[in-house]
Amino acid sequence: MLRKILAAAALLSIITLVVIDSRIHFSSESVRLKSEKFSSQKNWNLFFDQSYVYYSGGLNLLSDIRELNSVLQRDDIVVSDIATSYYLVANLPVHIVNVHRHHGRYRFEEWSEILDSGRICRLSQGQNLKELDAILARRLGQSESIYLVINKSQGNKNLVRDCLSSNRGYLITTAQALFEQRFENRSFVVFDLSSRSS
Amino acid sequence: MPIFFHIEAHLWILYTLLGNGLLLNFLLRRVSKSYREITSPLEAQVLSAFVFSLLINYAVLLLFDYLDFAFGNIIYVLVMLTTALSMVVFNYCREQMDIVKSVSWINLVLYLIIFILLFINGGLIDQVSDAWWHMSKANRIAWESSVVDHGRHLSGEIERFYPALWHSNLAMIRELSGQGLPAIWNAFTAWGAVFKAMGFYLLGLGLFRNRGVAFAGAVLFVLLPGIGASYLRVSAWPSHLSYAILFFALYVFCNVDQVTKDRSLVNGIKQLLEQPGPVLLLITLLIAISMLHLFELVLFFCSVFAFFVARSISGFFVTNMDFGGRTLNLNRLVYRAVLAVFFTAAIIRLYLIEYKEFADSPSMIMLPLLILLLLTVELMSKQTIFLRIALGLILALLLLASLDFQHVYALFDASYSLPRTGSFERPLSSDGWFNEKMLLPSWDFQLRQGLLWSGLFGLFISAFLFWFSRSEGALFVFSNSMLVWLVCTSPYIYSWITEALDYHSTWRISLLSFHQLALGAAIALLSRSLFMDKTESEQC
Repeated sequence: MLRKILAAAALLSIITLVVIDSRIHFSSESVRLKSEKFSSQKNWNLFFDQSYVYYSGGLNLLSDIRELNSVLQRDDIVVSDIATSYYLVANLPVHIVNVHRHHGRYRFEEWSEILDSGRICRLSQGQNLKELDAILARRLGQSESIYLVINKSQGNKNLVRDCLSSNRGYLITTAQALFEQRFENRSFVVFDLSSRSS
Repeated sequence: MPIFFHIEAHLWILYTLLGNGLLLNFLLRRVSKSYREITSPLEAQVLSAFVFSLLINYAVLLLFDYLDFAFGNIIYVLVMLTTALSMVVFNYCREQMDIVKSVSWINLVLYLIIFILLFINGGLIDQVSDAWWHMSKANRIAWESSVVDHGRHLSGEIERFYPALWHSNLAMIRELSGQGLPAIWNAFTAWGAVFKAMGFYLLGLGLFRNRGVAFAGAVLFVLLPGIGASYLRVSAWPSHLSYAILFFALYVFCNVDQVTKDRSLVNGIKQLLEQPGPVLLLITLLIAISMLHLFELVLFFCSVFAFFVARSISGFFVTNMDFGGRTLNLNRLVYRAVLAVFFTAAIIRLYLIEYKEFADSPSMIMLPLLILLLLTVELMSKQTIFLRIALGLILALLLLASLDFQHVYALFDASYSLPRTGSFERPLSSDGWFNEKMLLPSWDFQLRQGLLWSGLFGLFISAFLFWFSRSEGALFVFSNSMLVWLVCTSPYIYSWITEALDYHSTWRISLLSFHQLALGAAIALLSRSLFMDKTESEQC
């Protein structure tokens, strides 16, 4: 009898441990908090669904990205907010400069400075434009086509914190005055930064 | 969200990543009795089919690359292959197709639940993650129709080396389906999650030879968070595919180990040559692992090595059997070969390649080398009992001395951790030593979540299970968990492995803490003793 009681107590303890440790999968609060704090959902959760992924994973952009294929050619350089940069490079044969620090961001120091400081989002200020011109002059010397892609779509939490997207209204107006607009669809506006040099 | 979200991607995944592999599996089951035996569980057939499909697709892609054909045309070859294999299988191996016999319905329910959960959750991380780096690589392979020249996929600069088996298969599916890579990635996650659970079930079955324990382990693998286990939303990452295959490889290893452990070297090899199915399957799995993520190859040998060391020590103390010093057999040969490789790697990497880096502080790696040296002396040569015990005590003291106890304390009290530098939590007691070259993994790399408390209890429960049941499955779990705790709390060992492998995520070794199996075994055994009034102690 004592043996059975001990076995039951041990079994109950282990099951309690499992229940406590696995609560993370059954908490709607956890999904809400993660979403608010820009933390990604890696564990599965009973209350998480693809509606989160549809916008914040860029799935809603797939058909619009395909349309960009008509203007962005193989090995073209794309300047965009970091999330859009990755959406593009995962679908089109382009290269990006706004890369994550885990992927060798240090290799693009000149781009990182103008992107991270947000100066690229304030191009009407003469000094910022000069800085961009200097970068373009160096890059275009290597005969590359460089495009600025502005993502207009909404509902993606990754775009909210990036001035290239949050500041897009102002940026589009400024860019229209400075660069040749090459394309526009429901989600994207594309400017040819190379047109600046001509 | 439409109910048949990305259904087309799912159908292409089903055909391209399972179809031809499953047919080849039926054929092999007809040809080889030993292969048929080892793939008797449905899970083994599914995972074999997946691995075969990945490798077949890659071989055809390589051929297309060589012949400069567009990858979009690969469908003709795949369909021809399917037709040829189907004709052979339907004519000669029809009896092997009756997989219903090998189905455990309760397992199927578990896999269905996992699939539905992950189908609803989706697999794209709602942040910019490494997943996009992988998709960028796959995308470039698709656009270039080349599996070899894709080093400049992201920014135009040369990217770090990454094996391309998974990226090539993704590129192929993209070319065939016309679906975007994010859609394929998102859809595959549900399949990958099921494959991981299947792999873990097989590992439990291989170690404990008990379906109940294996099933409980698989359920806990899905439930208990941390250390790659319940991270099912990242199941489409190459590392996680590699995890599934690693579990499967350990299941096959368990089978090979049973065949060879009590036989002499010649008899062991003879036996394996007579029934080559498991060894060939194991080699295929290890090749697939090295072409997916590579690090799990190291994990496989670390796991086997830890088990062999534990079996040797426990054999000496528990049954007075000396695993290391007796007549050489295949297991001992493998064990010694692994030890030799570890030694060579340590010396070449640290003393020859990284000499300048460590010239200032050679004592930093002396301790790991000394531990390896003592293991060699302790386990590979015939010693008197007194000397063996003395060596064992020195070894234990060295291991204890190498631990950072303040870092151990920080596991329980997060506020005790030093601020992170880069992606590492600095070791505490050794802070400032050796020009701050010493590293330990931050507990928040899924580690605290996984090791507290289920990981910690799992370690003790596995020791307890081994003590009472003499189960080699429990010994395997205990030795692997012990290895995880040692690596994650000893700055000497952690820094040494990190430098020797030149790998930034050595903490992933914590995947080897198979505490889910220890807890699963305890639940199964306790339930049986409570409700069935009899105990069984089947084991590996």
